[in-house]
Amino acid sequence: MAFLPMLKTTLKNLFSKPATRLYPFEKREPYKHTHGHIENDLVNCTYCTLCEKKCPTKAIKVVRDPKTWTIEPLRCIACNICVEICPKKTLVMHQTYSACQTTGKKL
Amino acid sequence: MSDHHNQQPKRTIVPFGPQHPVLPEPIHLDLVLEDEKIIEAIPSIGYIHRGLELLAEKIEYPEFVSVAERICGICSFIHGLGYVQAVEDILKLDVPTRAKYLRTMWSEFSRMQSHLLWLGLAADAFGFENLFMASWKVRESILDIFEETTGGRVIFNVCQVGGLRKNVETDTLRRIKKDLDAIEIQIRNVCDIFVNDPSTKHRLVGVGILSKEMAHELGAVGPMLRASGIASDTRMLGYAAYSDVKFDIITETAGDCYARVLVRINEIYQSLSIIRQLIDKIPEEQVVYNKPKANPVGESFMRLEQPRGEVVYYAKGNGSKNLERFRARTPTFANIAPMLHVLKGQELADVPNIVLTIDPCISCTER
Amino acid sequence: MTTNETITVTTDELLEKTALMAKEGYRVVQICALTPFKTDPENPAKKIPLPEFEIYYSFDKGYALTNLKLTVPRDQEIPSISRNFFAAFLYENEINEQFGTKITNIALDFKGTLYKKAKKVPFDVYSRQGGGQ
Repeated sequence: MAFLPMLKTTLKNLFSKPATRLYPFEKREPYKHTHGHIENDLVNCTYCTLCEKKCPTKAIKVVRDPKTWTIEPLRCIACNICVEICPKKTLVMHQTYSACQTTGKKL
Repeated sequence: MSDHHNQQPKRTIVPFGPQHPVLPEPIHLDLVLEDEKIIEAIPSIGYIHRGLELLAEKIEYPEFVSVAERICGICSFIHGLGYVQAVEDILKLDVPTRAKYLRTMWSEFSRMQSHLLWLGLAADAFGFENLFMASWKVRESILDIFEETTGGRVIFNVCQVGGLRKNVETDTLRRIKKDLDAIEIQIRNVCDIFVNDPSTKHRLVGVGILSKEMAHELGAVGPMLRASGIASDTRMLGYAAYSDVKFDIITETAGDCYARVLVRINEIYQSLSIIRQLIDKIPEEQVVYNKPKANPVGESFMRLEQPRGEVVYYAKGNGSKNLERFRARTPTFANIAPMLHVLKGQELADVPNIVLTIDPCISCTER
Repeated sequence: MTTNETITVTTDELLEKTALMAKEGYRVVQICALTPFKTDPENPAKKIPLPEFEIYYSFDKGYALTNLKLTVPRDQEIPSISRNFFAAFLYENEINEQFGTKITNIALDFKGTLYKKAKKVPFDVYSRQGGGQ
C-alpha cells in the first residue's frame, strides 16, 4: 500500500507553474475550427434567405426589400449550418466568441 | 417503566436537495430517518423538465440534432448520435465507414471526460477537494482535443443524419494518438490515488451495497449494474464501429460504492485502448456524408451505451419533414429505483456518496 | 445488430404476459406512449390524431429487445405492471402525467405531482389539436 499517495502530486503542483492563465493579459489561442461567432459579408450577399430557413433557433432575420440581414448573437448556437449551406459563401465563422458588452447599446 | 420500552423510536424527515453542494443538478429526496439510519427515501423530480420531446413537432428532423444534443451537457454527443442513428435506421441509410469510426472515437472520448468529471465530483463529495481539482485538470486536455477536432468543447454540432459535418485529417489523428500517452500518465496519477488512498477506501468500501439479484430486478443499468457482478454492456450490440474493436466488459462483484469507482476507472483505461485501436484501423477514404433521399416513414428503437448506462431512443416518422414522436429514455431514469433501494439502512452522512454513485444526470432524466 | 421484435397485446393479456416474462428473467427497459395519427382522406399531407393511445412496453433479455404494443381508447383503464416489474413505476407515472392515460394500481403513485408543469397533460396531441371533448 502506498504511503501518502497524494503527496507526490501536491509537491509537483507546489513547485511547477500554475495551471491557470492570467487573463486578460495572456489570452488563449483558439483552434482553427473553433465555433465562435458569425459574420456576413453584406456586399456580396444575395439575400436568398436560405440561412434564415435553416437556422434551428431562428437567430437570423433576412428582409429582401429593403435589404437587411441581422443576427441575434445571443440566440445563435454556433452550429455552423448557415455557413455550410450559404451558396455564395459570404457567411464566415470566426474563432472568437462574442465578447461581453461594455456599453448599453443594443447590437 | 413498561411504556418506556413500548415507545416507538422517533422518526424525522430530512429534505435533501434540490440545492446541495454535492449535486450537479437538482433532485429532491425526502429522507425518513430514525436516529441516523434511513428508513426510506421518497424522490421528487421535475425541477428542470423542459419538454424537449415536444419540439420534434416543430423543428424539422435534420435540425433536431441540435435539440437532441442539448438534452444534457455531459453526455451531449451520444444523445446526438443516438437520435441520428435512430433516424438512419428508419431510412435504412448506410453511413460511410470513416464516419462510423470517427463517431465511435468521439463517443469514447465523451466517456472518458464524463468519468473524469464524475471522479472529481465523487472526491468532492467525501471532502477531497485537491483530488477534485486534479481530475478536472486532466479533463481539460480532453476538452482541448474536442475543440481541435469538432469546434466545440461541450456541444459539438458534428453529427448529422447520413454521416458527419466535418472530417478529421489522418495527420491530426496520429498526432492525437501520440498525445494520448502523456494524458494517460496524468490519468494514472489521479486514479491511483482513488485506488490506493486509505481515506477514499474508508469512505467508500462497504457503503451502499446492491446485490446481484436486486440489481437485475430493479432494472439497474451501466456501471451500477456491472459493479454488482452482471456483465451487460450495450456496446456489445455492435453499433457504429464497435464491432471492429476488441474490448472486454468490466465487472466487479462487491456491489458497493468502491466497486463502482473501480469500474469507472477501468473503463477510462479501456476507452484509451479502444481509441488507439480505432486510430490505427481508420479507413483512408475521406467521404463522411451520405445524403438522405427521402423523409423518414416508420419507427425504430435504438440502444446505445452512454457513460451512465444504457440509453434507448424511439423515433417515429410519417413521411413529413417533422418526426411524429421522439422519445429518449436515459440511464439515470432507470437507476433511480435502485438508488432508493440502496439508501435504506444507510447512515445520513453517506447519503451524498450514494446519490452521486449512480452518476445522476438529472437534466437527462427530465428532458 | 440483433433485431427487435414487436408483439401486439390487449389489456387482458398484459398482466399474464408480463408475469411470465418476469419469471423468465426479462428486465424492463422503457415504457413509451404516443398518439397514433391517420391520414386525412381529403388532404394527404395532413394527419389527424386518433382518440387512442399506443403504449410500447420494452423488455430486454440477453441483448434482444422485445416490445409489447398496446392500443387503447382514451378513457380505458390500464392495469399497472409494477407488481411484476417494480422498476416500471416511474415510467407509468410519467405517461400518466404527460399523456393523461389511466394506468391504475401503480406501486408508488405520485398522483400528478411528479413533474412541475404549467399545462395538465402537455403531450396530449388529440386534445391540443381540438379533437373531441
